[in-house]
Amino acid sequence: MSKASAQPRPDLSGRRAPLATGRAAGHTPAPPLWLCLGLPRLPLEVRSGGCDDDDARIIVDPAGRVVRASMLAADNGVAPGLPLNAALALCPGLVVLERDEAAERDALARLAAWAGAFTPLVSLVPPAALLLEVRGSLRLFGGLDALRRRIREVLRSTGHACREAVAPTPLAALWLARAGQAEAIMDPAALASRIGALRPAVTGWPEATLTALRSLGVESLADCLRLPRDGFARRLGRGPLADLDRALGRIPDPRPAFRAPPRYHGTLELAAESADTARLGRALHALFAELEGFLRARQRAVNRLTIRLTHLRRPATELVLGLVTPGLEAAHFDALFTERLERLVLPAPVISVVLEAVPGEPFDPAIVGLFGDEPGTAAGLQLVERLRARLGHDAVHGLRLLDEHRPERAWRVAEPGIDTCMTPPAGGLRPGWLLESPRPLRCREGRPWLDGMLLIEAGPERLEAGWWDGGGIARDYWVARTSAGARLWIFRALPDAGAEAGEERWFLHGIFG
Amino acid sequence: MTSIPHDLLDDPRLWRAGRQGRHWPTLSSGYPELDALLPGGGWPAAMLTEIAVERWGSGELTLFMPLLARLSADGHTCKAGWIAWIAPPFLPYAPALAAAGVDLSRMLLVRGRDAGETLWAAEQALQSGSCRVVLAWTGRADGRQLRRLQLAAENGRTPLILFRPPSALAAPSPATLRISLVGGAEGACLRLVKHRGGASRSLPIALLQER
Repeated sequence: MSKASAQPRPDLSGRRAPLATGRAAGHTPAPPLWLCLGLPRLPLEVRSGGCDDDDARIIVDPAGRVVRASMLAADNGVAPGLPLNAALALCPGLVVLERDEAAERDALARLAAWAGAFTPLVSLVPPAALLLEVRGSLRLFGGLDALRRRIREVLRSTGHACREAVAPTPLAALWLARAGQAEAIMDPAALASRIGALRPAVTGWPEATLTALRSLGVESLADCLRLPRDGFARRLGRGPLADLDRALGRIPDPRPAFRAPPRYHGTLELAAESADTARLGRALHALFAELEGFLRARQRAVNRLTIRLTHLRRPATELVLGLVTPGLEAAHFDALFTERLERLVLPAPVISVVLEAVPGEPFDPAIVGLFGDEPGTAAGLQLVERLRARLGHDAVHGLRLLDEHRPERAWRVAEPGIDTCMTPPAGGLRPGWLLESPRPLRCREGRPWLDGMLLIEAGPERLEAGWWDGGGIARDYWVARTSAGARLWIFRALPDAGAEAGEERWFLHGIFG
Repeated sequence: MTSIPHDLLDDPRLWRAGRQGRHWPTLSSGYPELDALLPGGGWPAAMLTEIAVERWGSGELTLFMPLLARLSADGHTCKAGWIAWIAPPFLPYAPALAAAGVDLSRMLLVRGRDAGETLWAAEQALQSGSCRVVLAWTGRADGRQLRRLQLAAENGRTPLILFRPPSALAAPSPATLRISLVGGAEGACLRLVKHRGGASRSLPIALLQER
């Protein structure tokens, strides 16, 4: 019988071949664990920022075939691979967009930079997948489930549809992600059976190879694994054989690590021209979330963000968001942008948003106090930012003293919270309120008048200063009381004070509130 | 004779003459006479206080200087807490504040272009919980806006001192304490217009002596 006499030849399932990962335990480092993020809708996403999939739209390649269809279009039967004519026949109101592969590459690179927040080793799998080596990150993020949940949440908030899979080898993770199998493979021994259940199409092998496999009656990768190695290599080439070996961990599969650019530059095209601030906010949130990952991967924070809102046939609107202390949280950026947007008048609808940031100083998360209970330091600075974002930078400030005798120059606006540690100047009584500039008072019979005769309570205090820098003053200051009881700080300009001497000799300069 | 249901007596909305208890936390004003006058012995610590000022220069800042000095000095030890000035009518004069012992590094001056921005900024400052006290000046504010501020003050546990024109006293307000400063040739007089549980009293400001 041929069955009995046949020499047992090694088959692809590797029952006789030793597994590369099956080394003696105990002295080896923990085997790697790969998380693959597949982004099946990336072509659609890069061309419809801030959009909720609310219309039927498709992306077509230069040859006029559908690459990706939105939910609504897919419901009407438009599927990838259809010619454009057929798609339009199925769904007449279709919005047709050309594929923008450069934007997809950029978006994938930005997502890779974002994913750097979760692991030091991120690898690109163009056109639309990322591989993350997460074994070393599990403890930090509280286990695989917590890590995956976190990644999913951020991706959902940024409008990316994602399929993720986890396996001990990168290729297995990639194939599982393409097949949409989310259940993680933790044990290398389980690889063969789980991979075997996949259809050959997930491998991304050339169409000719897949056709050849179909003609052999191969329906799943398990069927492939049952084929003899030498015959498989002869008929289908060394490439697919090596792929299977890599997926099963029999030969090493090193992956190049992604290196992020030194600065962040993100662009997102809006689905349609829009002046809707909610939509702009959503689009920018996606970029802010990417930026946060980008910054976390570097442990850097930013001081300022530059946002450009581009319009059709009009120069772009540029916004600069300044942060009081360096920050990196997307939620914080969101809040600042929302405040800023409220007082912004858009000159025209926006077609795309651009976010740029240069990582600045190292992020210092130790702003909280020794016991973590001092309230307000961070909140206080965030309050300043919030107020400034809505009211404008100059509308919020602090105060500081200057060593100067002229009353209007004895103080200055300053950044809030700057400690000048200056002792108050010696001198006479000073009023709590100062007028922006001295207000001339009327005189009757040589006495100052404001709603009645002013009653002098104290004075004079002579201030004569500044003759050396051209802004000289020579004044006698008095404390006066109006007939209604308000106490005022008034002065009489001395006759030799050139510039401010006019008909009016008496001025109101302050109020004792 | 039937007895009054007990839970009715405990309802905070029910005010009974002669009962002084149930006071809210307060901050000493720094003036013993004023503390004696104010219900609870000071400014409400996490509520809205409205002050109607007839004329600037009636002592409206003097009333608060000891409090501001103390709050800003406290702030130094735990490095927290702005003293927020929202839409003041004039420039708070730094040398005078410094002379009164106020730490200038805790000052946060905010200019609003209109009443809406002023109230918004005040609410933000209260809610952030990062201010020791919020001083705000506004003419127009309706009951709904005042209620929002009162709530924000309670949530942020921050006192809000709202300076209003005297005409504002005509409208009802959810403020815990309403005070009016009435000018006179001999100096302004402070009068309690509304406070929970107490009769109307007044005090000449010129008599205040800091402790």
